[in-house]
Amino acid sequence: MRALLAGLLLAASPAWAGGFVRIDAQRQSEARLGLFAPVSRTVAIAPSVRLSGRQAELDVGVTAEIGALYVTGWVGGGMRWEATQAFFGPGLALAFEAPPIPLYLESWTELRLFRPLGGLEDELWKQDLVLITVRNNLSTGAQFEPRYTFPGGLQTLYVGPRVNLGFGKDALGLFGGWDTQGNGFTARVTLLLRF
Amino acid sequence: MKRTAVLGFAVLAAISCRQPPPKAWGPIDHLGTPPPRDQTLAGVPVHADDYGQFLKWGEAFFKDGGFGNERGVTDVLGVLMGTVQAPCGKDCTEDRAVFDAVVAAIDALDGEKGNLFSGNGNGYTSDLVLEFPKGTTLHGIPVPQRVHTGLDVEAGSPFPIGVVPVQAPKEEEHLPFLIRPSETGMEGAPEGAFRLRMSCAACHYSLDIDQDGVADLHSTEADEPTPGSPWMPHHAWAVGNQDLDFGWLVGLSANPMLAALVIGGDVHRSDRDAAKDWALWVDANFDDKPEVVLNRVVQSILLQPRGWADVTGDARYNTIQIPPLYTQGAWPSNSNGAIFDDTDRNNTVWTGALDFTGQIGLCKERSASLPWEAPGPFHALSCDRLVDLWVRYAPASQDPEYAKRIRADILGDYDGVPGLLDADSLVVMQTTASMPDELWDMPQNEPRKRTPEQYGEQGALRKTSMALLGYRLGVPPDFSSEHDIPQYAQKYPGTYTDDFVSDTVSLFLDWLEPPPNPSEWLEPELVKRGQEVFREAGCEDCHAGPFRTDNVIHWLGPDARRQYGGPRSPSTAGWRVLYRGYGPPIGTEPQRAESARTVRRFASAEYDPATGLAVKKAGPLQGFLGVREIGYKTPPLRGLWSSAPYLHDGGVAVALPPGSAKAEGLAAHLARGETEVWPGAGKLTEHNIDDADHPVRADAALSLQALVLREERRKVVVANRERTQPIPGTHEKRSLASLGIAGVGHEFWVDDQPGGPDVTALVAFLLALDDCPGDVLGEACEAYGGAK
Repeated sequence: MRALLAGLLLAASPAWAGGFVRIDAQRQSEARLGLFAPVSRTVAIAPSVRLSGRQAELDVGVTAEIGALYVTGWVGGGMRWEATQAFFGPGLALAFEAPPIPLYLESWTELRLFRPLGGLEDELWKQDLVLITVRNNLSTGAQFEPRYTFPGGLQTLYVGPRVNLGFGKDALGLFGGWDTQGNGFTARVTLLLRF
Repeated sequence: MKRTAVLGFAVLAAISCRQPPPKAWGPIDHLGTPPPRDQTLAGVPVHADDYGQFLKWGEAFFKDGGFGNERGVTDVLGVLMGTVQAPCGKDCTEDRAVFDAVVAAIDALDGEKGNLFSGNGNGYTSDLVLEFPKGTTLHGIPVPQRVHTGLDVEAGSPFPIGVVPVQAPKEEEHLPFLIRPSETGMEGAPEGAFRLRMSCAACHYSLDIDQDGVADLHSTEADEPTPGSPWMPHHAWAVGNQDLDFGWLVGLSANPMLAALVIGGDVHRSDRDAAKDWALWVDANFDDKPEVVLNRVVQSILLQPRGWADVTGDARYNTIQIPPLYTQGAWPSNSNGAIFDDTDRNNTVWTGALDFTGQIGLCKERSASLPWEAPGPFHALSCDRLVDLWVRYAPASQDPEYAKRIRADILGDYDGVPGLLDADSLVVMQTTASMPDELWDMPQNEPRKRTPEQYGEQGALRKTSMALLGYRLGVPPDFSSEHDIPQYAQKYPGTYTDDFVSDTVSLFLDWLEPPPNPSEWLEPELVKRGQEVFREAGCEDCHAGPFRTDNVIHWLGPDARRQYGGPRSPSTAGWRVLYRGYGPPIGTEPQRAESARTVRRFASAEYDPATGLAVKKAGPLQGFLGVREIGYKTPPLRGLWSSAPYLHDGGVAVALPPGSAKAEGLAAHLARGETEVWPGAGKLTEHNIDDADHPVRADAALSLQALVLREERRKVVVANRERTQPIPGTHEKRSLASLGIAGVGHEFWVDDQPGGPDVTALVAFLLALDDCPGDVLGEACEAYGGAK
């Protein structure tokens, strides 16, 4: 796999080949390493690996820029440790901004299919951010984060304020949310380092 | 099916929202056979006979043409027609006409008085010097005894190059401000009254080919070569007149108020808010304290260093070095990429820069202001008020009735076309708010009305930038009828009659080659090695192909305010990259690019770097959702040896102090010690003010070395930040960096020491990129088709 990733990067134009490390520090912290290897001016291959105390996942996707909309779609699979359960499924991340319009939208959707591989209920997780750009290194707004299981329905819906801080090309996200389904408060610090 | 359609749309949208890639040239042997010259008019191949004729017409329009700008240049600006106050005894001053000093200076070029209009003894100069008595002032600001204008005068000519006398019509001969050469009493002086026109040649012709302060040619006429000169007359065509003192040229005009919001500005600040504040201050004080306003306007105009010019209508200091124009295979047409098409460039220069009154289209009622952009200075003023500022003390005001006509003419109420160009030589387009309905609907405009679609598919795509000021060049009626110009549009389908003059000028500029470099330092092996260093250092990644440009606008850097005019949200979506353009950020002085941000994002069509043709039209949606990088184009590396200093701002300059001994070879020259050179532009501009009779110019080799050696550049940047440029009439100084001459950016380095083998070879190669780079190896350049 490393050889594949290295090959993809080597084949890429040097213009914007790169990647990121994202750490979500919360009750179940997660680290994610993503790479992008352009195949054209606007499209790149986007592999990533994720690791948390709960599961590990490998995804391969495509990221594209369509005007002010950034779209990344992927498919992947992994293993949930706690249940010794494999899963697979698609994901979609969208980001929209058209500066200087001070609005930033970010949406993540992930479907994890367990049942075809036997066992757990399937999961749909979403995270939507609606932020107002206050200044170049500060935006603030709201985050909505529902998680569904099938056939169980809505399990959690965290709603709360979100602040994004910029540090050069890196960013820090702060979120504190309450669950409308009665699971109380959660907090998350997201650190994104680009390279 | 639905998914396929969505995916297809996404892919199409992704492709369509991005600039196409530059042409993949691959390695080029720059020292081999040069590329053939395209014999085309607006991209359409033309017959050899016609090509030669078009070339001559293009040269003639570039050198002398003005589309009637003499009315704005004389009646409103009064170029070289100002008045200075000279001492005439104790507590006494008298007004003296600047034009008298101009006439005396040209007349004295041959050392003989009174023969100005009878051959002038074939006197010539590359730097016309006006003399004034000690103690002379201009609106309260001291005037040097010898003002070096940098204007060139050809042998036998009574006027400088680019300053063209135009006989006034009989019915206007009575106007008191017109020039009457016969009143000089000199033999051969023509009868009648004249206006002065300004042409492109004032800034882009020079008799001083090697930029050493001495004229190398007597004439720019093709059939008048200068005996003993290594250069031919055509080598003077469209080079940068780099010793032109744009500040004094405008400051010594009768009515510098015309330039108050273009060249002028707050002498202490250059940001966009300052520009608006400046306009409001001028507005608030002009009625009650006109002398104070004039003093400040002239002071700000004179702050610009000699050899740099600012013609952006933003009341900010964003001067650029006056560049040579070698345009073949190179686009966009200006450094910040706002205008990429040659014809649109010519239109913009003639309608907005060679006739400042055309900028009436930027006044409050006729221009849009975007909420996130600080409004430009013109937008702070109503159209009527702007005209009032321009005309109240203009030469035209000496005849109140005529002044009314001029006011109406600038607004467009007189002939249907804003500005003072000859309306019969123009067409009108309602592509921007600059052409309001009441003007568009005037009966005179019926035969002039055009739509972009009439200029074909490319016209439709360039729609928003074709006539930014509401009108566009046509063909002067006399020229059209004399040469039956419409027949050419029929003969060459794909060309347009209205664009014919402009296209011949573009053809002329495409034909030009830089002058040959006569330096004996360009040894064949050194230059060949330099080409290798050029490749190894990755210079060809951007300076690609035979014209050494990828024709791409390279972004300024990640500062979102500069790129977009507003902040960009910090994002935790890792795949959202900060920039997906070609190449690394250029990072050069940003003001010039920022000044064109709105036009670039929302008015300029997307173009194909490989062809220079428009591929997608501009519009609000494209502006927001597409990406137009804000930055600078990759310049073609042609004629570097005669066009130092470098970068668009001319900030990378290293000079030799006066009296420096010549080095033994290029390596020794580049290895001069720290105390032997002046890094930065400040020292030389300071010297050129203090000792204007012995000017110092940037040294091409040393400046190129500073461009590519990190430590040498650091010295240049630091020096440019020192306060060296005096604010006229005060004891204060500003740094050149604060005037937009910073020399920063383009941080692509060669790992070497000053005078080291790699940098010496690279500099030799860059200096060899003249009209025939291969001649250092004994290669011939017949492919240039008789440019020699």
